[in-house]
Amino acid sequence: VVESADFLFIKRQTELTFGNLSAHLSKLEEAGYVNVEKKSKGKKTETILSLTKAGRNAFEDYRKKLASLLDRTSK
Amino acid sequence: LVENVDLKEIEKKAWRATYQDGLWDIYIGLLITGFALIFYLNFLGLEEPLLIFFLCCWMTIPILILSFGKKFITPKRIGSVKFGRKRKKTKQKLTYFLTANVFILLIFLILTQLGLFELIPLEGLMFPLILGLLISIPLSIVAYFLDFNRLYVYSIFFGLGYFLSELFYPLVGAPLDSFLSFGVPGIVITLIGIYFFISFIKKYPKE
Repeated sequence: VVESADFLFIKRQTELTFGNLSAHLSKLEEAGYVNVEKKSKGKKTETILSLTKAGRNAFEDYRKKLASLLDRTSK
Repeated sequence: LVENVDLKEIEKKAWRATYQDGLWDIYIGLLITGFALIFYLNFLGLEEPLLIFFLCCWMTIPILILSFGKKFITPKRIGSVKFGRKRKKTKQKLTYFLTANVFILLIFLILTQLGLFELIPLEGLMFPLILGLLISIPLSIVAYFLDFNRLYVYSIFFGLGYFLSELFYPLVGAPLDSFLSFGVPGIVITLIGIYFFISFIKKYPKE
């Protein structure tokens, strides 16, 4: 299980642009699915992201719904 | 599509991403090459204290590359990720497991030096094969738990090194036997690591 990751790691993994990812994360944070923590690291600010329990449950719920939808369409 | 939104799979992908930089490959490759160099220096007649000193000096190179790279190169290019308790516990258990294995291997080598294995009828290449398995099996277990697939291949190269050396000796003699059994795989693994490292640097420019 991933505990937390910084902004750059998520950006690399999702292959999204900086602005695009920022917009997504703002919405996810508002929904309470993602925790955003800002830490100062020297002159730079590091953004640490973690998935909340609600976010994890919502993701799992989405996956189940998608699987059942695909299951129904394939029948 | 469903697999693509499986959180466990995504997290596994994130874990595997930490091996993309090739630094572990370079580390293992240099470690194996070190054995070939030791055998070569031994062949040249270098005394034991000097051999140990050289081995210690050589071993610091891969350690420095790995720790420097993992601290200053990798996080600046792909960012950093923290894994949960389960991964940390697995890592801890693996550390204990590897330490125990090093001790078993050391006891095995000490018993060999004392000549205790001469009492057991191990004919021909049986002894190097057992020694190889004592290295390959634990490393394969580590590869499984770390989800580091390339390590399976490296563990076979590492484990079979001594066995191959014994096998090649009657054919090519020393020091070519150790060069073929340790040097070649070591250099190949290091080159694979360098290839991964260059690809990683190209794919992920510094941000």
